[in-house]
Amino acid sequence: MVFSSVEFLFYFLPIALLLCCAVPMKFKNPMLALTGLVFYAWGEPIYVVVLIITAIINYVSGLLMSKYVEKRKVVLIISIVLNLAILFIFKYTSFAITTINSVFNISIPDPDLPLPIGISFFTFQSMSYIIDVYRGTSKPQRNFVNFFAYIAMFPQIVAGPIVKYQDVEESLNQRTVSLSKFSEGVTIFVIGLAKKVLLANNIGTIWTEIKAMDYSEMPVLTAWIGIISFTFQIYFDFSGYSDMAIGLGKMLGFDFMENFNLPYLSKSVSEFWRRWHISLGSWFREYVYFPLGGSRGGTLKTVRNLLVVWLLTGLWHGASWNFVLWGLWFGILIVIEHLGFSKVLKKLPKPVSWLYTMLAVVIGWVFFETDSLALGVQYLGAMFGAGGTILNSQSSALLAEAAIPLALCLFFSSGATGNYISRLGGKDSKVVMAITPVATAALLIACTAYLVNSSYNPFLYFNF
Amino acid sequence: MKKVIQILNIAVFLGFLMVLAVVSLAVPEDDYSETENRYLAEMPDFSISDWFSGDYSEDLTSWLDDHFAMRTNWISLHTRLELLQGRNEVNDIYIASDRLLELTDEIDYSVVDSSLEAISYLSSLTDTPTYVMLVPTAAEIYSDEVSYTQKKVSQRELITYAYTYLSENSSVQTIDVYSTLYGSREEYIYYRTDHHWTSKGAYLAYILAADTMGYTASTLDKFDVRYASHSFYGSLHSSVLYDGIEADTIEFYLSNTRTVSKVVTDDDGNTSYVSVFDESYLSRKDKYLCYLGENTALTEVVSDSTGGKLLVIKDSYANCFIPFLAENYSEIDIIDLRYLTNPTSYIGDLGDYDAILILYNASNFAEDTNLPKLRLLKN
Repeated sequence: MVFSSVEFLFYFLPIALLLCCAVPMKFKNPMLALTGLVFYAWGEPIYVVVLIITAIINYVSGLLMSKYVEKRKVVLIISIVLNLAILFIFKYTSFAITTINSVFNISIPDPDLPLPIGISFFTFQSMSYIIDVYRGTSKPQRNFVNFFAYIAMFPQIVAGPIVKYQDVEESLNQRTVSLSKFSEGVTIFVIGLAKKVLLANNIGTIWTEIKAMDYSEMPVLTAWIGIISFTFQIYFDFSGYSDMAIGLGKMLGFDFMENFNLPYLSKSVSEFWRRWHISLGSWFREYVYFPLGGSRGGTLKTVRNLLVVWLLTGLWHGASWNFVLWGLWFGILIVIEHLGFSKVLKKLPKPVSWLYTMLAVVIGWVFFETDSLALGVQYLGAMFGAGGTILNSQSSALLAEAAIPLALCLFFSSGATGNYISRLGGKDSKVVMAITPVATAALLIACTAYLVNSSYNPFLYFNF
Repeated sequence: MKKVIQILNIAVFLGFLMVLAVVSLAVPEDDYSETENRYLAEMPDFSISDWFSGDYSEDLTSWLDDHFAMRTNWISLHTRLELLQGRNEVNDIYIASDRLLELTDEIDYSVVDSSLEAISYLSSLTDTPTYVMLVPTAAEIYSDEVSYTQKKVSQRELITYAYTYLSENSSVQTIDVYSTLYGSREEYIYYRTDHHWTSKGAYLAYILAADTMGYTASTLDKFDVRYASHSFYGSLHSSVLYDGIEADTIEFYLSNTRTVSKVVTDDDGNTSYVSVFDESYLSRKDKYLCYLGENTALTEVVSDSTGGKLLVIKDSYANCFIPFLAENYSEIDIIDLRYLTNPTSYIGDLGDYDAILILYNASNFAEDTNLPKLRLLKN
């Protein structure tokens, strides 16, 4: 089930909120676990078993660690190996087999397993739990239902954010839903829904159209309209999903961390990654980069650590060389910035460093989104004139078609709304408060029109 | 104040969701949506195997979507919101300034080729003169009203391709109505909200075909034009439910010199004769069905004309065209290949016919995979 659907919004959600909020604390986690199970099984009636097995492995590991304190390192290693094995089997088998086959010119059959939705999110959450328990930053969860509620809670199971166990441990054991928090959750959720349904899906149709074209003769303008459209699509889609998850979390009494903070305003690649998919970056920092030594072991070691993290970040997003290259592209840029370029960037005029950052990001999206390295290179070529023409009648028509959606996306990704709200006196000013319920109603009505007419409503994270 | 606003915000949210959910489930809906002109999804029966294959949740999702409260209003609103953003193509329908157009998707020429081969085969079976008329749809005639990006394929190219093939590979004679229709594009020759041509458009083609098919076309004064309905919203309207386009008019060209009837045979084998203009459909959404009624495998039309016997193999574009042909043919057997598996039992000896006409709209001809059924015919 995806959030932007009739069955989730109108049927699952009201019932789930009722079950999870209107019951005493001791029933809240069982209800959260139950609704998560139904939510996941609706879309993955078979792979729900993978989710349950993952939960059992990590739950048992946590208990074993607390029982055999001196052997907890062995338990940690075994459970991490198991988690990664599950992730590897379902996500990377095909990639590994095709790579091995092409390198050694053999033909191992590819089982071609479909990817369980959200597997990268729930295995990473599980590993955060097991590492937190190992480190002693969190207590092992003795109640399986509570633990399953953490792994499978419906707000973030399919598309994040990746919630670290230490961040929700307290709320998992005790939480209350207040009027103001629920209302805040409603607003964040509805804004997220609108980002996904009204902005991302709309601009996405432009990209879908251009992506399907022949890149070899594509005019420069068409290529740029296409990739800029995708740049906005992925941002509004992904941050919309995160907002929906955060909003739902608030309605249920949780506080998930912010996942996107106006990333397209960044003035360096390092800054971009502190503002984009923050929960993933913080997961890698905490559980990979720091354990490897972070930036404390001299320049060479730091460079190695950064590249390892970015290789893994790339791979996390999908099992193909495109994602590897995409990750390394950012890794290399961040290394360069780390080695001194960031000081230069700070001295440059702001528009220049912004332009550099956005160029890096947009080029990254080319490899992220095209279907093979060769196509990525070809598309990149088209952006810089390899198609032979700057524009044709088709590009101008595309520009006309994309103009209004692009303008809306530009406006809403610039932080202009936030500035405007603070000019009005902030969230608690009378004007903004009075607008809130009206905006909720208007956005819900517009989104419903699109959901009922759901001819175009893609889910972008089947790769993750 | 703050608390009131918060309660209000929550109430708007939960109220909106729950009221719509309850209304959707409580108000029973028909299985068929007249407004959308299609059957709505059925409530799936639960079975373990459907659950594990994911079919159950998929079917239930379709059912929930189709039976959503005020569904048609939501679709209208969606169309309006799209237009507001400068997007004219909604649900595969292009909304031009004064009409709706159904754009043709990419043409699969292997489908076209096998249809053309089947037509050639048919003409090789008999000496009866065989004619082909591929009628461009409004999307082609008014293609300059469509912005560049949405322009998909040229039906004109398709028609030229087909006609060239047929003249090189068969004795089929082709009738090119493109220029005639294009030349009259300022007139009411296509419905604004439906994918068919109007009787006026069909009449122009009837005049044009006279030379090739060798009949003397009846002039306009031989018909009493009756305006049967001024409130026709057709199939294209059903897809977008956009009311910003003027409703269409249904016109009956009633012959004042001939008696034209459709032959109806009931279950007991009794034959009766009814008008080719079925007024009972005037109260329905799809008023184009007034022309010869629902599409069926075989329709027979007879008239007191002195002309011979005609076989028409067609799609629904022929339905408003046939009444004109009845001016010149006394018996017309009309075959719709979509509604039969083997035409042999419907078509007798091809030699009995004085002419064979194959009439499709070009867009449908490119997609229709039923023409190869003609290969089942023997001489």
